[in-house]
Amino acid sequence: MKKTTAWFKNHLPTKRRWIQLYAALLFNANLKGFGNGQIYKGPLKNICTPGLNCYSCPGASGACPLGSLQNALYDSGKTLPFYIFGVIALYGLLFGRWICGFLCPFGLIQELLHKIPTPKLKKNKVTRVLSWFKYVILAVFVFILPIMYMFRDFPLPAFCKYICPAGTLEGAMGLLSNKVNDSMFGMLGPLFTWKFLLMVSFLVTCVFIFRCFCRFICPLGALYGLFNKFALVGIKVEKERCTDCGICVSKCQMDIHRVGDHECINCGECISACPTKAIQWKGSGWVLPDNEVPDTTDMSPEEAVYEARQQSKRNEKIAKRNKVIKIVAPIVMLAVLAGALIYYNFIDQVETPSLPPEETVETEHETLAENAPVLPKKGAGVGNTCYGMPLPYIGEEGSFNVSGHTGKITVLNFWGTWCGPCKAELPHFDEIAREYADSVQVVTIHSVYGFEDAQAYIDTNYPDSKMLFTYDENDGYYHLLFPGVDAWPVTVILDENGVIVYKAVGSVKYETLKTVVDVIEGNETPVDVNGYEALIQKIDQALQALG
Amino acid sequence: MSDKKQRIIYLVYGIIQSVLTVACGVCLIMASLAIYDGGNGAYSREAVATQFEKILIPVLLCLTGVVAGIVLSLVSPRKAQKPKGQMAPADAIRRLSLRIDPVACPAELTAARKKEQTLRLVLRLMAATVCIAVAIPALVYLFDLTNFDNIAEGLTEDIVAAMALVLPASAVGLSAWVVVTLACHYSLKRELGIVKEALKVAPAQNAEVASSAKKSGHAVWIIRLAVLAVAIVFIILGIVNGGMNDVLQKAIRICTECIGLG
Repeated sequence: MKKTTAWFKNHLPTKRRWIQLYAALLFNANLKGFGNGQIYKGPLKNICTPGLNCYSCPGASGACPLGSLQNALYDSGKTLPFYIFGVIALYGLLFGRWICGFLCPFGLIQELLHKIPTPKLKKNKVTRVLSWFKYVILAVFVFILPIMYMFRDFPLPAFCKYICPAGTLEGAMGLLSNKVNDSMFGMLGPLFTWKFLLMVSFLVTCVFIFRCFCRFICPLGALYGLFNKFALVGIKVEKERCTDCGICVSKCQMDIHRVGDHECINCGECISACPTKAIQWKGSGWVLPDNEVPDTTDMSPEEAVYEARQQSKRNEKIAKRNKVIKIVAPIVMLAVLAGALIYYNFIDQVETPSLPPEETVETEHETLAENAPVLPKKGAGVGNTCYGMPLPYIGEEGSFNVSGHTGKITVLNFWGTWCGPCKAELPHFDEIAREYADSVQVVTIHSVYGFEDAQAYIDTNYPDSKMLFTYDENDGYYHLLFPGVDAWPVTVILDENGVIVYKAVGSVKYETLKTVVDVIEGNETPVDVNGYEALIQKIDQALQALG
Repeated sequence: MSDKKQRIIYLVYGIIQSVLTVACGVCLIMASLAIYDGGNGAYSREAVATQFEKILIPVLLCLTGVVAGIVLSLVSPRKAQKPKGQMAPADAIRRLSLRIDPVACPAELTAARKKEQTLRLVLRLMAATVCIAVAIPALVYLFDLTNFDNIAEGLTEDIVAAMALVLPASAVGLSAWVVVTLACHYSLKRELGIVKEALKVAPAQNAEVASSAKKSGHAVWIIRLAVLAVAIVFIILGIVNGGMNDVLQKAIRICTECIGLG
């Protein structure tokens, strides 16, 4: 029995591992998101989590500081990025790279992979130099590229887009794993292939090299590293006791030169290794018994006894305090976790998109279409007759409703001035609107967020455009009907009867739009559901041929 | 189980599991490339399932290996190796130097030490010069707005073009530092030899192995308070100027390209 108990005790996860698991669960407390394939959209998402945790992950309960920083740099043209700099400075001051060692979910994944008992590549002089590469990534991908594209009025979170494996693993794979988001498969192409390749490479490398992403690539770790020396939480070295024996540095798996430097993730592994007990947690005097033997050489015997008693009293007090902390801390932590799980999964429910009232749409539709063909039932999928909803024009009176504008091919493009890919693809739509002015109406639908900026953007970039510029005033519900999740950009193409024949989540190219429009134009307008099936098949084949 | 036997088991397991892990990674990458080769719209749940079926055996083998590894480490845990510390040459030089009597130390040894120190300084300056030399063209390119004009059609091409300059520049800079780090290491070792020799010849009387003077904690606390004040002011300003709401608005919308979907 004793043997079994001892075996279990030896194999229990360490306190650090428990905290890592706790933090991973807390930062991904929106568990229902994994079930319904939706991300959390409540008000608490304006709080940044300290570690690298993609905010497009269905479970994410907060925002990723790195993604927010890159977006804030784009916004710095109109709103100075005080908030995100303040948050990063606060986290850095409080925790430094202790966040990497204890709170980062992606760090946990890497450490677990490294537990697989294979031969390992240990740190050396080359890896120490390579660890500076993350500062290049920080400068180029997090600061320079987003700022340069800000001058082009184009939001580009370059690190998220081209590198971040946490985004691919938690965000992209998290969303794609749910059947609800099947429409997203259509947009996967070279970018996804690149990022998937990168993610797999990182994960495989982590098996052989301890935290390879953290050590060589992670710009968030690079940022927090700048605060490491004066962070409130972490480890410290008492210089008087240190003998420079180097055991701490050789025990550490990170590329540190000294304990507590910018590479140190404050995991605390070196504390037990130090033969002179020179390494301690910062603030540990408050919770750890004083292990220093008082210097009694110059004291009288009475004074020495008095000093020993005083020390014993202090240690008793600390032991009592420790007992309380050991009971209270887990209770508080569990209460916070339980509160978060209840709040995210049961209390903070985001309303599902409300469908437009059927009768209104039907009436409008019936008045317009004499000899109306037998159309497919209404819906938001390909092959359905498209739902209608009034969409107010930007900067003009009146509104547009697809149900009231049949007779022409309609291209709906959901976009936002805050969305880089949306702005990048808009010229293609403009070109289609000009080229097919007689037969196609291109309707752009801006998100309700940021639509105040849209007018100025349109005036500058599309002053004579044939496109119609509207916005989704109903809090984005019309947009949500089509992709099922709040993904941007989205393109929906309707034929002359207002039936959806093509839908794409993600960017589309001019050639794709032109191909779809050409197929619809070259096709006889279908008169029943079977006809639509054939048309949709034709479009698919044409797009396949396009490659 | 004897130590030797355990070591052999772990070695064999480690080699097999390494091969399986790499094979699994390669298979996943090949599967992804195979789907991508299918052309526009080739990705679908069915295509992923079909490809996954093809690589199922290596993936399952790899996962079985992982499970076996867990069982192995539970049944026969490896003994934690006691870390063997080795004092860094720079630290050793610093400590031993305190025990040398600078007056009694022979001039040739002092000169030899000085020479090594100068050599390291020159090497580091050379590495810094190489880094600056390769960084300047890269930075000039990155800060030239005209290189980022191609937003509608060739955004990725622009980024790739920038990387074609940044990555080789980084590689050259880091390589220079690797070379200099190694050279400095040998220089430090040589200096350590000289210091040891000097210690034999001219040991200081009443030498104290003094630790570096304890830094004043006040400066650290001033920095902490200053950063805290700045952080709080910035957060308040951010809430007032709408920066916090901007974070929310970006976080609740999925920018599909931003997470690599396309």
